[in-house]
Amino acid sequence: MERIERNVRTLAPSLLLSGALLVSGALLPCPAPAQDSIPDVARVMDYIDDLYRSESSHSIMRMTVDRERGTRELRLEAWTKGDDEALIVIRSPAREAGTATLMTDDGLWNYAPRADRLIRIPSGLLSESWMGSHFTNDDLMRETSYLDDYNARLSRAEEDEATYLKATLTPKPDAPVVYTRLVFFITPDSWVPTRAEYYDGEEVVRTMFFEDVQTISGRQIPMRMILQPTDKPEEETVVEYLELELNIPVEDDLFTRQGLRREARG
Amino acid sequence: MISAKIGFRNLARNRWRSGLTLGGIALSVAFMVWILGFMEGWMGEMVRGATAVETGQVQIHTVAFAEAPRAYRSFPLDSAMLDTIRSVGEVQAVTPRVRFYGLVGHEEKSQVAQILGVDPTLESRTTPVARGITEGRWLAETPPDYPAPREAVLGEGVARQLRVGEGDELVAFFEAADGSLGNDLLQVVGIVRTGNSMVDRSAVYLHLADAQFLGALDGEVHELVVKTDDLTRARETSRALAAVLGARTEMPEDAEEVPDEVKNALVVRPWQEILPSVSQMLTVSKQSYFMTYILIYLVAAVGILNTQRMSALERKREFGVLMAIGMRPRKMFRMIVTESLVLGSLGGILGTALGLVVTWYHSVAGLDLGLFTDKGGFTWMGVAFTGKIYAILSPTIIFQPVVVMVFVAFLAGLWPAVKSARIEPAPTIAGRT
Repeated sequence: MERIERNVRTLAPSLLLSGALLVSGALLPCPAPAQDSIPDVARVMDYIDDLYRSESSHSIMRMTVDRERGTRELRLEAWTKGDDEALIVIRSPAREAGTATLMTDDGLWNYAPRADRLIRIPSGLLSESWMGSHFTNDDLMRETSYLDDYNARLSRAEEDEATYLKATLTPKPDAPVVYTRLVFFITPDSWVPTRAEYYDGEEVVRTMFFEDVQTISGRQIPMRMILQPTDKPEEETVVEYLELELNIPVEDDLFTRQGLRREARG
Repeated sequence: MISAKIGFRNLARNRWRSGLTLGGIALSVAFMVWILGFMEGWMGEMVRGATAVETGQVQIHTVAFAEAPRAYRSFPLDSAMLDTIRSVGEVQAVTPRVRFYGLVGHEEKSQVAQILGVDPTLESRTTPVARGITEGRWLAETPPDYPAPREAVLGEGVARQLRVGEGDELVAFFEAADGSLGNDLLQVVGIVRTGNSMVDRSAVYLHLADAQFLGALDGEVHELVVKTDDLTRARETSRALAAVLGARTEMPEDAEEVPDEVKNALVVRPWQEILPSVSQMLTVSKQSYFMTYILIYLVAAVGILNTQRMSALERKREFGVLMAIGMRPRKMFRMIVTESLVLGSLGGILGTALGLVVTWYHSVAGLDLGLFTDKGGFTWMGVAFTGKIYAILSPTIIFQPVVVMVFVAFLAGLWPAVKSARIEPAPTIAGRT
């Protein structure tokens, strides 16, 4: 039977959310660059974890999905608050405008604007493709817990005459994780991720590149993320942040059915 | 004929022993008739269950869709094409479909479903799905006007999983052919149980026009499903269809690597290719008949052998006298073999009669499969067997077991016959052997 994942598009904010979450400079512990020694692994992972957490954020993104059949461009607007509340609304193209995803403590929902209804995304679909992009729903749910779900090991790696911190993450026994290993390459001075590799067995199945580092709220944050599946080198999904506001007031009721409707239909 | 008469008479000498052997043979043959009749019925049911609801007997797709079903791998459909297909002699009905995999559910629950856009009239002519309605009704002839929700008929497993019933609303979410996200509000108008587990567990039927609209597939479909007169002739029918449509009859070697014009070409395939596992299972089952024969008839053969050898030993002196007064060994041999044949034929005829009665009963009244499971049914190879299986009687099923039995009896009689034909008259009569 057909693999469903290519066909099902469930909406879950994923790394793009994380990107939006990247930005809460005020909350982040400062990297304390030590050029020669390897820093404490817990601190680095805590920092990377915290990269994806924010008091609140608001962002506008452009997502470009390059697939075998052509390219699609979506414009997304996203809000986040704390660790587990997020809302993403598709603003264009017109056919999909108003389609939204809501994440709360209780789970994930898609909002179908034509139907004006929410539909719950079952946890079994966490590893399925999100919106026909190369991101999965799982990206969102897991990214918040590098420390909780993985055992991390830190080492130094030389690549293209630059030195990186290399964080190797292996899932803890009961972690709800689909990959067997994650490897992050992080700049040693400011702890900015440059690349993340996702393993299945001993194979890299996809790679995320972080580019276009900008300083936002005193933090160095990659504004563009490129996700590249290994088995389809001609395909990729690019997320770019067009606007990013951090630690701005976000109403609590935005992350409710009413709030979602208001934003999605507005 | 004289030897047959002698054979009968000889067998009648030890009625008890002959009767027991006869009974064993008769039971073996009766059992074999019943097994064949039951297996035929079962496999017929199996193939019907597997093909009737979902695949039909012949299907038409683009090569690309047959290789891997993607929403955009569709082809344009016009009514002339349907007419062309119907013009082929063995075609009973044809129905167009679009298929999407998507999320169907509501705020509390959702699941991945197979969304099937069908023409309600043509679909119910081609497959028995509309007859499987257990609650509500089948899709209306034409979809309701917007803004009414789109009508949907759910497989019973989907309905149970989502805890919805007739009249409830659902949201469908799936990737359309243009890569965009189709979504709409559905209203459950009916629930269907077909016995095909793919349909019952994951199918959501929508009106073809609704599904095409949602899936951005204006005027295009993913598959045509053809119902034929005779499912054993599906291969021939699919070749005939391919000829009139100018379509391929088989998939290219590596369908992912072929040029686009091949990918977009149509391919017509019989159910044997669409469901190779079912087709292989049938072949294996037919081959297993041979093993069943061996197992059951081996017992009968040993019985015959024993009877014949014993009776030959008992009559050794008698045979010696016969030889002494000029009976030729060949005639002796023939006499003993005839006895075996009489035994086999008589038992076979009795057995066939017995098997016929039992099998006929099961072909009319059916055999309740609930007997074998406490759940009242089971699913095998995607086909749910819940009701009764009706045995099938055919000339082969009736006559093959008895013919094979006569042959087995002949083989079993050979050795006693050879032994008896080699008797030396003098020492035998004298009792010195």
